[in-house]
Amino acid sequence: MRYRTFFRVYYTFGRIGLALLFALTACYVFAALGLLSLGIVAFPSVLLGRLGILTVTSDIQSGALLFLSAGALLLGAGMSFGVIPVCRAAYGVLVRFVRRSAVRRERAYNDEEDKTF
Amino acid sequence: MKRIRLFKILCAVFSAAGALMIAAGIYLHFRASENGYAGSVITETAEFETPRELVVITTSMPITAEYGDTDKVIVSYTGSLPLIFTEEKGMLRITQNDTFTMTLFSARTAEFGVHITLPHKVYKRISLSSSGGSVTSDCLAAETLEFGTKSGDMRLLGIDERASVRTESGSVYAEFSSFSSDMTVYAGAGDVTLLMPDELSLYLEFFTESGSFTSERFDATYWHEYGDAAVIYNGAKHRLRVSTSSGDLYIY
Repeated sequence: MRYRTFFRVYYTFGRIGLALLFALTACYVFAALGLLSLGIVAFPSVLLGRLGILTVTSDIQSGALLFLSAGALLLGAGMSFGVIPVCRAAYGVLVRFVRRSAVRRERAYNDEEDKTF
Repeated sequence: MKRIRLFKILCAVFSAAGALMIAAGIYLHFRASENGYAGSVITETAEFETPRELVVITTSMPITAEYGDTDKVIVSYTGSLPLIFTEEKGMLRITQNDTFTMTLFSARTAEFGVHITLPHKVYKRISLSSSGGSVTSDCLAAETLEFGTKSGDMRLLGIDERASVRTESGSVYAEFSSFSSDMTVYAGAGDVTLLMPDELSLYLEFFTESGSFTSERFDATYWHEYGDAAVIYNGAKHRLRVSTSSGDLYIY
């Protein structure tokens, strides 16, 4: 395979991969913030409900609701802590790809020029 | 770099704890479900001797009242808290506990409401009022009929001039069976739709700040502007007054 063709395949799949990576990162950030907000609203409400200050209506058993809301709060908080490392890792992949693409593009052009002359 | 590692550790610890708690919650819920319904939604039916007066006041539950083939008053409801029933001196009073309520993960709130089936008789007083819920009445007869909401809609079938209708922003749909004395309908921002019997003559005054009036039956030959009111007159002795701030009036 000519190097230029190899570069094109690498570049196309790389861009698709980057788009998927961006979508996954966005999903992670939204899920983290969503779970955290849900937990922030639900957990104190369920606690107030257990104390008899608030009436909480739900199709879920009240003890289970306490665990679920506490779980959502903890998981949301945990995932929010992970937002910075995840975004950093995704950014690292992006930078590495852009650098490698630049090097391969350079080599592809050089390869073509060698064949021309 | 150290800070990133700390974030990673916190992420792993918190996420693991959260996932464990969620798993425990799911397990508890399904274990409770095996022993019957695990939620906090109540469905109950209660029966009472026929009263002279019926008063129903709810904050958010819709109210439906109608006659049925029964010799007792049957009240069935679905809600988050038990309703409060008070019987004294021939009056049955049904009120909703007004504790602040919050709904989490419940698809059944759409079923919330009070349904009242009454034995056929002319009552001394029937009063149905709800703050946010709707009020539906089907051909009830009483010396005093009172319907009121703040934001809930009203659907009143077979009412006559004895009914008192008042809402702040809910819409009113009323079908009149007869009309033999003066009456006023107040509907602040809500639209009012009135269905009058064909043979009924009408003397209607419509007071509004920004509402409009529409009628296919009573066209421009019947109605005219009089002061700040739109008046429809085709020979009736008694006056129906509709008052809104921005609600529209439709007459059929």
